[in-house]
Amino acid sequence: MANSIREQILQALSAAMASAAGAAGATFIRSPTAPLTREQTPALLLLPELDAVQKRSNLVTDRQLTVTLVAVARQAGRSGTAPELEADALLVAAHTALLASAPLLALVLGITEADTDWDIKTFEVTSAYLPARYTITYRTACADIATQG
Amino acid sequence: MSFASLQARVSAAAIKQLGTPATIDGRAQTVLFDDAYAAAQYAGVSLDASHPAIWCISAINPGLKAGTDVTVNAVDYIVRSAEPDGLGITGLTRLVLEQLNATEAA
Repeated sequence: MANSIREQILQALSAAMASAAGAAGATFIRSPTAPLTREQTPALLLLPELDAVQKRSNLVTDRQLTVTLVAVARQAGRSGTAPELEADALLVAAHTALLASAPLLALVLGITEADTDWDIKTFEVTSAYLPARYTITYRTACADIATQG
Repeated sequence: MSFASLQARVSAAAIKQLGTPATIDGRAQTVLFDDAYAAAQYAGVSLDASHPAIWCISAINPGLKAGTDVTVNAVDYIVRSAEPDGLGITGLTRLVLEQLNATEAA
């Protein structure tokens, strides 16, 4: 049984992000279900959000998949790299990898950056959480979401 | 003896019996140390974290402020905020801590 094009996109995206995270010394996690441990940060997260139909003809359906890539970093104490800077550098690497991934680009019609947010909190250390949202447009056959249109 | 004085003595005795050795701005003393788990909640994701804080006797720690060095259980922290009880009843000041990393502590 084949996976949907949506899942194939997410898998290609995961592979690209895992590579980018690994090169940056970070952990990649798709849809984390448990709190991130201290050892798992810095981390790059993939959070699929929504897959919406944009346009439909008799044969093909245009869809828009919204995903959020999140860079998470922590920093302790008075000196060293601020966590928002480390998370930002991780997002730069993720963005570059996203738009350079041949397996991913072969599955999609386009990738558009939507917005980025910042959230910084201090607990025992300061952590930065930078989510960047992307919309990925792709096309499937109307009758089979596992077949590209 | 006023109620406030009595309460301050009770606080000091409780800290002495139940507390943890610590150093605040170079002064060795006993404090109440709390490092309870507190997940840092972000949109859709949380991080393992804790809220380290100590309660110390205000009278022997005058002028505490953010940035003061604290060591508890061989872990180095800096004070993020100093929160005296303000009423003079407990005679305690709560210090919210942030952990220093290993290279800074060294």
